[in-house]
Amino acid sequence: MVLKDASGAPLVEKKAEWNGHSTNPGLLAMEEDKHPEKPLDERVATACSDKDTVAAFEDAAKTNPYDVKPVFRTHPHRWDLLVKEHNPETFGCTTCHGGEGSQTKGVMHRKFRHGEDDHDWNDPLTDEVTVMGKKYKGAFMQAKCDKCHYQEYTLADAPLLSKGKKLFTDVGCWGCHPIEGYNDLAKRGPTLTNIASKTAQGWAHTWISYPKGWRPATRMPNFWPGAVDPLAVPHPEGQSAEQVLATQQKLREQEVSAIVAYLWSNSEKAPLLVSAAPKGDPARGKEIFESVGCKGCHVAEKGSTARRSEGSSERDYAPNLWNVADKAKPEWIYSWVKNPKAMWPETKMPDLRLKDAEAADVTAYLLTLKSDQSYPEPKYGAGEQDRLAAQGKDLIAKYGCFGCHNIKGFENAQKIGTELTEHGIKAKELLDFGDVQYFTEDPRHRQTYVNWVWQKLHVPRTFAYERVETKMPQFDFTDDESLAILTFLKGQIGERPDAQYLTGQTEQQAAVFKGERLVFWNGCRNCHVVEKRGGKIRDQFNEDNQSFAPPVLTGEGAKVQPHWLFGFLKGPFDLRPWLTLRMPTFHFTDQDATDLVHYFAASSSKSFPYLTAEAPQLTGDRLKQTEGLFAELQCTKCHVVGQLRPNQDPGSAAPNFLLAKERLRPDWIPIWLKNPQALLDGTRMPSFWDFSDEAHPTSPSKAFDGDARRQIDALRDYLMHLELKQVPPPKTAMRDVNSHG
Amino acid sequence: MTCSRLLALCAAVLLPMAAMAESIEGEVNFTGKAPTPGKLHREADPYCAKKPMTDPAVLVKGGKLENVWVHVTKGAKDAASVPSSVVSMDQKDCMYTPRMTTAVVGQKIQAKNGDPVLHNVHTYMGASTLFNKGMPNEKAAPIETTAKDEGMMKWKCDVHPWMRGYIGISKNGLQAISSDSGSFKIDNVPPGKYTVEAWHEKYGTKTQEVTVEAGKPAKVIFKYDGTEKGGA
Repeated sequence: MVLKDASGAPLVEKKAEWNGHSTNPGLLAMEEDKHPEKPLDERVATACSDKDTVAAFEDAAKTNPYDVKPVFRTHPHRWDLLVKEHNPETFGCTTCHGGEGSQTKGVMHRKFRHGEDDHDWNDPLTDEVTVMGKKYKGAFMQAKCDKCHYQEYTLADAPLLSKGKKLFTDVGCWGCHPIEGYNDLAKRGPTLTNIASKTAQGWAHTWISYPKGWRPATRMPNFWPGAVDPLAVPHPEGQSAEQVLATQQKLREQEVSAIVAYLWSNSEKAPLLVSAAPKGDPARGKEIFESVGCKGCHVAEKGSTARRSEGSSERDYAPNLWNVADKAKPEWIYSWVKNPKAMWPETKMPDLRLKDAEAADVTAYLLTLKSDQSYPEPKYGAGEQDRLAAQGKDLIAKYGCFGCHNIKGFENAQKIGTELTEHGIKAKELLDFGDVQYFTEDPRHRQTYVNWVWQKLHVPRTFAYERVETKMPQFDFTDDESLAILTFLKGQIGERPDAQYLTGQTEQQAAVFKGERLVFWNGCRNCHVVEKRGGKIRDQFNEDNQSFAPPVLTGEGAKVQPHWLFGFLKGPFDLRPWLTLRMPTFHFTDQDATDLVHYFAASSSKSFPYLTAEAPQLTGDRLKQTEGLFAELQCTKCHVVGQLRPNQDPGSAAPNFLLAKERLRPDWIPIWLKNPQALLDGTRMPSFWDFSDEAHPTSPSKAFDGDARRQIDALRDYLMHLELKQVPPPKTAMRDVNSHG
Repeated sequence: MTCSRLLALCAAVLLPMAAMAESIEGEVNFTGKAPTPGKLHREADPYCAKKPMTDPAVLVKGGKLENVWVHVTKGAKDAASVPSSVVSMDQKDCMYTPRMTTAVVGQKIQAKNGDPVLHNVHTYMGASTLFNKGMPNEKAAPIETTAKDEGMMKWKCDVHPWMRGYIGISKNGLQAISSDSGSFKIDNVPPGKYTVEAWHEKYGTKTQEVTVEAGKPAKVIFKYDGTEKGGA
C-alpha cells in the first residue's frame, strides 16, 4: 500500500521545503529505508493503521503531498531504531506507543492483536506526558523500552530511562519497595551492626537528623523533612509554619535520640585490626591517597562535584571525604582502608592492598580532614538508654531503616514500602491523595498518576492525613532526577512480552547484560574506559603522563585469555609495577569473576571460557630471522622483559613481554601489530607495517623477504614462547638476569 | 625542465605585482624572568645520552621569545596555491628538528630518522592522534604525509618522551615563527583587517587585531610574562 500523490506517483519524489521545515522527515525516513522489498512507509502503514486511516493519509496526500507521513515525523534514528531493530511488522506500534483504546481498531497485524496480546493497547501515551502542568515530550516513550530491555542498564536511545534505572538502583529505592529484578541487591547503606566502633553517638545524631545538612550529595534521605521545611508536611488545622517547624524539630530530636540509643545498645564490636591507629605521616598519606587510585571514586574537597553517580549529577559516587575525621574513629579508618570488605562485606569499596605503613599514613592524612563542627554526645540518666532504645526499635521498624542498613534485631524484617513491580499501570484511583483536595482548574492540581508520583518524589509527606501516616523520607530529588525515576516507574508494568521479543535471550547478550550490572555496581568505569564508556579518573592525567592512567578495557575480551583474566580479577597484581596507581582487589566471588570474564569475551564476540592459545614454536632459520627482526624493531626499547631497565623512563615503559604467553590471545597479537591505533586510539604503540594497501603491505624490515604478514606471525609465535633467557639484555642494561629468571 | 624554468621566470616577473601586498611584522617579548632550561634526562638510551641536551621548550634571549607561531586566523583568504616545497620534520640526535615550522593545508610533509635507534613518530592534532609510526633506524623509509587541517600539529616520540616538534598549519599561509631574536615577519598580506594569533608550546595563545594599510607594514608586538598556561 504505497502512498501516492494525486497523479498516482509514489510519494518518494520530494521538494525540499515542507510546512516551514527545511527538510521533510517523512521523506528522510524513506531515504533511510534500505529495505529491499517494501518501502518503510508501507510497512509502518500496514502495521499501525487501519484501512480508513491509510485512506485518510492518501486523501491528505492529494491536498499536500508532503504532509502525509505523520507516523514518521518524530521517530528518532528511524533506520537503526525502527526499521532495523524494531521492525513494525514484528513489534507493531502500540508496543512502544501505547494505544488509544477502541480508537486503535482494526489493526492489520498478525502477531500483536490488541487487547489479547498487547496489554498496552488501552494505555494511551498522549494522556500523561504532562507533569504538574509541565510538558515533557516523549519522556514516557522510553518507559516502554523497559518492557523488553529490563535487563539493560544503559540504553543509548533511552537516556532518561537508563538514568532513572541507575538512580533507582543507586539510591536504593528497592530497600523499602519490593520490585522484581532488584530485590536481591546488597543493602545500599553501610552496616550498622558495629556502628559504635566506627563513630560517636553525637555524630550519628547530627547525621541521622539531617544527612544532607552534613553531606549535601549523599543518597541518605531526610526522615524528618518537616523539621527542615515546614511546608514538607501537612499542617494541622490552625498551626502556623513556625509552630509546625518547632513540633517537627522536637519530634526529630526525640526520635533520633531513640534510634541512636537502639543502635548503640545493639552494636557489636567491629573486627578492628588495631585498638588505636598506628602513627603515620599525613603528607605521605596524602600522596598515597592521590596516587593509588582513591580519587577514582572519592573526592576530598568541600563542594566538589568531580565524582558523581552515573544515575545523577546530584549524588556523589562515594562519600566526599573533606570532613571524614568528624565522623570516623582513627582505628576504624585504619582497619577500613586496610580491607573494607572485612568490615562491611557488601561494600563497593575495594581493597587497595595498602601495606600497614601505607594504611597508617593514609589514616593520618584522613584524620586531618575535619571541619570545626561539634557533635555533643548524649548523656543518659539511669535506665534512660534502655527506655530510649525500646522506642528506637519501634521507630526503626516504622521507618524501615533496615531496608538499607544491616541492623541487629531486624535480620528478617520485611520491606515496608509499596510493591513497585506493577506500579507503572497503577490506576490513579488506587493512589491515596490524602486530604489534599484538588478542586482547581490548575493542571498541576489534577489527580493523575504522574502528578502523584512527582509530588511523592519531591515532597513525600504531602499526602499524609490524620488516619494515614506516610513514612517515605524526603530525598530532595531534583526535577531531572524525578523525571528519570518517574520514567523508570512508568515502565514497571509487571508483565513481559513473549520471550522472543525480549533482549538478553542469547547467551552472549545475557552475558553482556549481567556483566554490565557488575561493571556498574563495582564502579569499574570510574577508573577504566570499559567498552567505550567511562574512565573518570583520566581527569587526573594529562597528555604527558597518560601512560600512567588505568588501561582502556574496550575489546579486552579479544585481547586476553579468559583464564588469565579470571586469575587477575581474583588476585590482581601489579601488571605494570612502575605505576603508582593500582588495580584494587575486589574480592570477587568466583561467580562474579566468571561473569565478568564472560562479559568481556561476549562484548568482543569471543569464545568463552576455553580457547586454543597455542602458537608454533620457532626453530632453526625461522627463529633466527625472528630474533633479528625483534632486535631490529627494538621492541624492548619500551616493552619490559621482566622488569624496567636501569634508567628506563617509566613514562615510556610498555607491558612486560614475559606475560604475553599467559595473558594474550595469540589471535589478538597480529591484529594489534597490524594497526594498533585501530584497536586503541592514541596508543603509544607505533605501527611498523603499512597495511593501507591490504594486498601489498610494506615493512621497514627485510626479514622474511620483507613479507609483513610472515613477520607479524613470526613475532606472535616468538612472543607466545618468550623466555627471559632468549632476550639479549639491551645494551643499556646492566641487568641481573638471575634475579628474575 | 624548460617548462618549470619558464614558470619560475613567470613568477619572477609577476612578483612585483604581488609586492602590492604588505607584511605584518613584529616581535614576541618575554617580560617575566626567563626560566633556566632544565637538563633532559636522556640516559635511558645510550645513543641519546651521548649528546646531553637541555629542554628547548622555552627559549628566551634578551627578553625575546623564540618559537612562537604567529598566524592570521581571521580576515584572510585561503592561500591561492599550495607551496610545492616539502616541509621536513627530522629526527636527529634524539630530537625533532626543527623545533617548530609551518605548513599550508595541502602541503607535503616528510619525516626522516637520522638516528640509528628506534623513534616512533606520534603526531597529534589537539588531543587526537593523527598517526603513530615506528622508524627503527636511519634506513627506515621516510614518512610522507600531507598537512590536512588547520591547527598545531604536534610531533612526539613515545620512546624518547622529551622529543617534541611542532608544525603550525594554516589555510591562508599567512604565518611565521619567531626567531631567536623574537622577531617574525609575515609577507604577502593584502591590506585589510586581521586577527593575528600567537601560540607558544608552553604559554599558549594570545590574539591581536591588526589593520594592514597599503604602503606600510603593520607592526604587532606580543607579550608573554611566563605566567600563562596553555600550549601543548
